[in-house]
Amino acid sequence: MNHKNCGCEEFQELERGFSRRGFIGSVLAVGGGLLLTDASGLQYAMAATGDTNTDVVITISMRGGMDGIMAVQPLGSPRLRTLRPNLSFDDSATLSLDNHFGLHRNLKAFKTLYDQGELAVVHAVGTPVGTRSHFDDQNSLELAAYNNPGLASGWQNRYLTEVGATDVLAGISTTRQRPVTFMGPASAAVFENTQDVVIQGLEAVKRTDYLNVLRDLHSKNTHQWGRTAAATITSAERLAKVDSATNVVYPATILGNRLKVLASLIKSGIPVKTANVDFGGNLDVHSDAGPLTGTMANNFTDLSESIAAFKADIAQDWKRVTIVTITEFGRRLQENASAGLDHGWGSAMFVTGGGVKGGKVIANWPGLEDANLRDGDLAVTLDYRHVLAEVMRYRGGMTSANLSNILPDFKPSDLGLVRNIV
Amino acid sequence: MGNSKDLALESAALAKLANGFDPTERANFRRLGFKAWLEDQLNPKKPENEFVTTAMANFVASNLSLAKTAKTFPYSAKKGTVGDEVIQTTILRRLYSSRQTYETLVEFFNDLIPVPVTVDTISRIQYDRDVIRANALGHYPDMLLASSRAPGMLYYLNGATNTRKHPNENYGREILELFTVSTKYPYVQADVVTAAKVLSGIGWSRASMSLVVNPKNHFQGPVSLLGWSDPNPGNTVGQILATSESMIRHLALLPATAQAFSHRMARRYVSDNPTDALISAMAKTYLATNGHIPSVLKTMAFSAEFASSGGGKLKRPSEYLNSTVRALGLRLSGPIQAGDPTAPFYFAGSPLGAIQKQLSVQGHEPFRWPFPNGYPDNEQAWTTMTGQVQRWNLSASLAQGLRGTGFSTVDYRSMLPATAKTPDAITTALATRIFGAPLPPDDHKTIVALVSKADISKPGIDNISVWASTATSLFFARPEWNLR
Repeated sequence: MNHKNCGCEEFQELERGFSRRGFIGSVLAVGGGLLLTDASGLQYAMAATGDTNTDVVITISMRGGMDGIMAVQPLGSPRLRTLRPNLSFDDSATLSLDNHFGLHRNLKAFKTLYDQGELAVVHAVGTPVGTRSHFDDQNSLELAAYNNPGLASGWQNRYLTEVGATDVLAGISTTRQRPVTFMGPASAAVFENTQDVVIQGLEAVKRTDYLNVLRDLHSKNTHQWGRTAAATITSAERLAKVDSATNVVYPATILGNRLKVLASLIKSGIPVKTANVDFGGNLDVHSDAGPLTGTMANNFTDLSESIAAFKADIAQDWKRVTIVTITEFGRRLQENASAGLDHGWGSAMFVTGGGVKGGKVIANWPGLEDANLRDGDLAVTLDYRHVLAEVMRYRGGMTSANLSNILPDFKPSDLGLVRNIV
Repeated sequence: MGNSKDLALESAALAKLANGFDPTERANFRRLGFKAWLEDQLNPKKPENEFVTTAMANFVASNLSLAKTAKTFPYSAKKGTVGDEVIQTTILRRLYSSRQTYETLVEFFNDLIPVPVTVDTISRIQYDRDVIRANALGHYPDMLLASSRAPGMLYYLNGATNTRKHPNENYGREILELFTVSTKYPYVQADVVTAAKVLSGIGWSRASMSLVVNPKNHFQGPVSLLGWSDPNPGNTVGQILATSESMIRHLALLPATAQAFSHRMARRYVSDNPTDALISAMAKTYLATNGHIPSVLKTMAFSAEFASSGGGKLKRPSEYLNSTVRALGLRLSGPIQAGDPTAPFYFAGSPLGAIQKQLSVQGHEPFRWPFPNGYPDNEQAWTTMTGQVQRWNLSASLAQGLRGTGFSTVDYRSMLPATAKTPDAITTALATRIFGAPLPPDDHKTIVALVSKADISKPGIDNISVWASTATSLFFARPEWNLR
């Protein structure tokens, strides 16, 4: 990026003094030119943790390492075009957001949300410790407790505890295995389709008798399997009544289907507090990344159109939903010989929903010159936990005390991403 | 096999070192004793049974070389055909092979150095057969080397496009992180790049279906990582292959690899959190035997920790299905269609297709995990609402003989003595027959109470079978059956 054009020369300075733990006090919203204060200067909302006053906080897990630069390209950067002859675009081929950044053209539905003030972009964001390992970075991303190796629960699980959720269906992961973010003491339901969790019953005995015996048989078992069985039975019986019909046409993709399932729960009044939805597409594009017609182009269409369909489907419930996309790392700045991108560090996040103060790109943009990069990667100048903390604080009614339990040893800063729900 | 300790070991061994017991395997175990039974299981020459041998002959691509497969219709045109075949033959052998421990090892290694079936699908049988199965009773360094040169892995982790000018780090990273030393070893980014450089220029030709080594694409010059170095002249195909082999063998035999390998294996077979002592004992064997897989497995299996580990680990969906089917002695519901893979329902019509679908719903269809770390292997990951409901439903479907499971129905009359005529007697007799002992009194009572409520009022109904199927539906829904 040309720093003269973006008016952020001062961050050349910042970058030189960049240290992993030293940047929090200097967060800048490039789009609005807004300089934010550090954590010590903030007045935090103290919303009650009542049932009706919290959003459904949804993470869309972009597993595999989403390239943030291709999603949200810095404009006016001849260097980017040089380093990525195949995997970057002329500025005019992107959907310009603020003259500094342009969305990938297939994120058209995101541009609409952005223009409506319901989508914000956070850039050069990521985990505090980038290892370039999918598994280590994904694991630590979901544990979100970087100085607490003994803590074996995921952050969404701790959020459920802090929000006072007692209903198993308060936490939903539309996956076939439990993700780390939902591991821990709080219950959460894991299923991909509601028809997968219909208990069929036995032919010769009454359903209620059968279900009671199932409960009995599990009641003394101390494994998680046994401890969660009774809640599974109760929840399955409730889910059997959920109407999954919709007039909205979703993309015929894994994400489209998963969001459709989630929408049906929300519309049916299931009191979901937080959900994890795995994206399901291939983001690990070491070769043939497909910027215009292939893999990544399709990913962006899928992501943005699935969310647009979700919004249309849940209609008035959109105002109590906040969606955050999250990835374990971005990709290397320079493309490789296979027209692909190796593992990197900094990436971008999208935050969208009825309570989002959108229409802006929030970034402490580090620049793309060699000196700005970390080992060839876009530097992370903003810890992803700031984004999560703000969403949980203002849309989930979390106090500072709650947040310090969910994100231990972390001092969140206010980025101006969302309105207070109260 | 008299005392409870022997029974505990028998049940742990058959649940962990086999896909569950069936009457034949339990008899074998009792006849031979644990040590001789495991030696027999690990004998590379142990013959396969007639059923599996005959069934396997129906699968065409499994019996062809990769080059031949690629030229043979429909594999040459229909990408998914080989994929379905390797999935279904895997399911078949897990269920019915006489070489049960071998099949568990094949599963273990397909998770340790995995290639998803969606990647270069045409070669997935080759990967399973020539990389995994060919070496599962051999040495891990040999398997790792074969894997590094297999088309599936070359395409999956981008070795096929890894060149001197632009080393593709994908495989270089994972061979360190997942396949050898793990991130517990403090390797650095430069080591990842070095591993990629050493392997650069080693690719695959789809035209000739063979490895191609191009010195022009190979990084030439001295290389070193993790205590290994090589002048790496890289001028000839032979030099390039020799250098890369030397590096892979070095990595595969590092103490950190022995630890990481042993940890993965102990986690698979013993418990989610095996002790350091067990891992170290296994690692010692690994290093002393140059990574001889059966030797490491035996160190683990003959440990006190293994003997007392029964019932502590949650079965994954495939293990649940296999062990339930085997315990009930179920066969496939129909024949596997023979011979003609161009027939429209070659796979869809097979009972194995229904089983494949069931595993898919539970998120555990063979070779479908998209990432190179293999399917999760811990209790929390698999304790899901889907998992619980699907297992209860599967138990009910199999026990009641519902259509669509892919399996035969249970002939309860043949399993019960004529004297068993009440819900109580039937429940006792069936549990004893299947598990070797009656259920714990509380569970027995709970189940009998439900069985007694079964509706047997329909004219002509066989009350014995209704009672038996109701009881059996609950036997395999018990949480204890989900643990091994």
